[in-house]
Amino acid sequence: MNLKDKTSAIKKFLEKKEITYPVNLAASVVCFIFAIIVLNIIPKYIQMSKDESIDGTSFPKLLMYIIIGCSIVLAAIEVKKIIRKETLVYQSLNLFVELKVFIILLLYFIFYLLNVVTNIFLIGASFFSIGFLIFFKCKKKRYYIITLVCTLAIWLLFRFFLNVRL
Amino acid sequence: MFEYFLPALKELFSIENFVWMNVGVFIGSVFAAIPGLTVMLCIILFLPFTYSMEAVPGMMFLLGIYCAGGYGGSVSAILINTPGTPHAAATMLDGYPLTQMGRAKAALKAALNASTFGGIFSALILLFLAPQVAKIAAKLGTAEYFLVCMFGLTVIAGVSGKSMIKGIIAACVGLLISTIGADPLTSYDRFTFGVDRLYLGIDLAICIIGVFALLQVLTKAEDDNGNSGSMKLDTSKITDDGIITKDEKRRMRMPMIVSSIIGVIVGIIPGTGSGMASWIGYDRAKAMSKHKDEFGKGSFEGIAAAESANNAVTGATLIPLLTLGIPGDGVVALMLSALMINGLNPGLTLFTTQGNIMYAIMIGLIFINIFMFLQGKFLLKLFAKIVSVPQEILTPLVVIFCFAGAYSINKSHFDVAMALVFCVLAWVLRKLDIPVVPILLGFVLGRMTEINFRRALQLSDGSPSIFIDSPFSIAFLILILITIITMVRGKIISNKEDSSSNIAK
Repeated sequence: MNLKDKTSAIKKFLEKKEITYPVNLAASVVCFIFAIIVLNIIPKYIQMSKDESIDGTSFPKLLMYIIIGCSIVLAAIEVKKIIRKETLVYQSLNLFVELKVFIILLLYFIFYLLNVVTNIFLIGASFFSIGFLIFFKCKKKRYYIITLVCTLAIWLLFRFFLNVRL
Repeated sequence: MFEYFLPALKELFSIENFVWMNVGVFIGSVFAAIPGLTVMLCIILFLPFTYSMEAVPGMMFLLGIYCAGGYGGSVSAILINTPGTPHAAATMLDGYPLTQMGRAKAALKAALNASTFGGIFSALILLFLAPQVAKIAAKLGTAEYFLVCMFGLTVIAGVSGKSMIKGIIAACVGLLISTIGADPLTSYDRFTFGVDRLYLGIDLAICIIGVFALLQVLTKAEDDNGNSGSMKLDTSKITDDGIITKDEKRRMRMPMIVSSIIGVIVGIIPGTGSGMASWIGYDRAKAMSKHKDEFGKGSFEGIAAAESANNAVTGATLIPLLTLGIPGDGVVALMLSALMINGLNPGLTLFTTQGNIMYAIMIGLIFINIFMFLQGKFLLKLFAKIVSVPQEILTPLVVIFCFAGAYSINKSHFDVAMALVFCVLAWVLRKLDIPVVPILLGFVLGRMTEINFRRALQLSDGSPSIFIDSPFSIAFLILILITIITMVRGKIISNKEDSSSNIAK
């Protein structure tokens, strides 16, 4: 089995794999946990005022209480649906699609890291544009050249028009 | 008010301003005509250009993009049955059938005329109404201001996405993000996690680049090959002479007027936007028409209604923005960022201390609509050529522009990293079906909301009764309650309809 066959076999396998979850219930759990975490870190990361009852922590705390309240209501609605045997709203994650998202994200991060490490924007930008075209299986050489020329044009635009040394 | 007109005209009438208006209109038309690219993305990409500009040319450029975006979407809707922007969907219903009948040019002309009419109508309303609203806004105290912000956030949370609860959660997340950095009242640092750069807070543009622009490219993974939006605008379909008969013109008049009024009303309400306006305008025109059967089959009334309504939103959304600092939608939120960079803080003082600039911007909006009309009339074939650029090329360039734009704000790699963090956050929220627009609006309104909330409570020694003390407060509380009840009722009805249609299937 050559590399191409292996890749297409993995693609077919991943395309069939789907994770389905009750989206509202999941959202309520995630938001509830998030709000609890933020409430716990507030005393550590916001200095409290000893003189005033309304200080810098009041507003973030209020927001977290609202999120907790909303999460509970959201969960209660879903639980009520389960008890009444009504259909819940489900969302599905296709592993193949998520893998593609992950790869684009990876391209973003490599682009960023190349910028930080080399401090030369053109290197990161060229890598990204070529990487993106390869990823989407672009076979037209013309597109690669046009994208690289446009990348250079963007750099020149920022460098000489906006005076931003990228 | 009139004392500002002459100085404003002096401020406005410069070659620089008129060039930027036209550049904005051109770019906006092209972007909006490309299916898959949005006006918001366009403004995100070009926002860094305004940082080095004065307030008036910068705003002329952005407003040019914004207004032309309203019209540009209709070009692809009419020619290839694909709306370039979501709000052009109503135009498509009658525009494409006209193209099939061999009247593409006439349909494009009707869309352009209606867009220009709606845009100018809206600009005039802005010019005369905004200063009056600003005067009322000046009378609001801290408690009332807090409630105004809450009203804006409630509407936005309600209209974005299927669940109002999730909208509220998203708005709270946005408000929380706005608390990162120095406390606005005490200057103590909050959620900086020892990172000095965070003390200055997070820039709006950074948040938007991550949450909207980078996310939009990420979602292309859901397409098969990332170029699903690549379509050619075939100008060979434009074979007619573009003549609209006298009878058709006469029938277009009333829908244009009514829809423009609808567009203005919808535009003033935060969180609504052009899409909603064009559908309401279209439905209203259909209900009022004597030729209902023609709707959906190539009615000029339909095109006129949809297009005038969506462009009438443009000036109206600026009314709450310039007077109260409340952006009606994400695009206008970006303009707020451009205004504030130039030291222009919304409110009555803006109309008194910076009256020349404010009036120059408002009068400029009328000229922008005129240029939109002229460009639409003479440059249509050029738009079509540019629009045919394949999306395989455009997409990586959008990302490169985003990275360069994020870096250019503070010339810092940290900002690029923050944009990436926001992109990941937005992706997670998308998977939880939580809308991202309320995050943006929460973030924009966060500082104003918190300052007024805390000051009000400090004034009342912590007693929440301050929020029901004045007639304005009571009026806003009632408005918030009515909004919540109406929206919850609407959502329940639409959910019931959804579930009954699922059962039927």
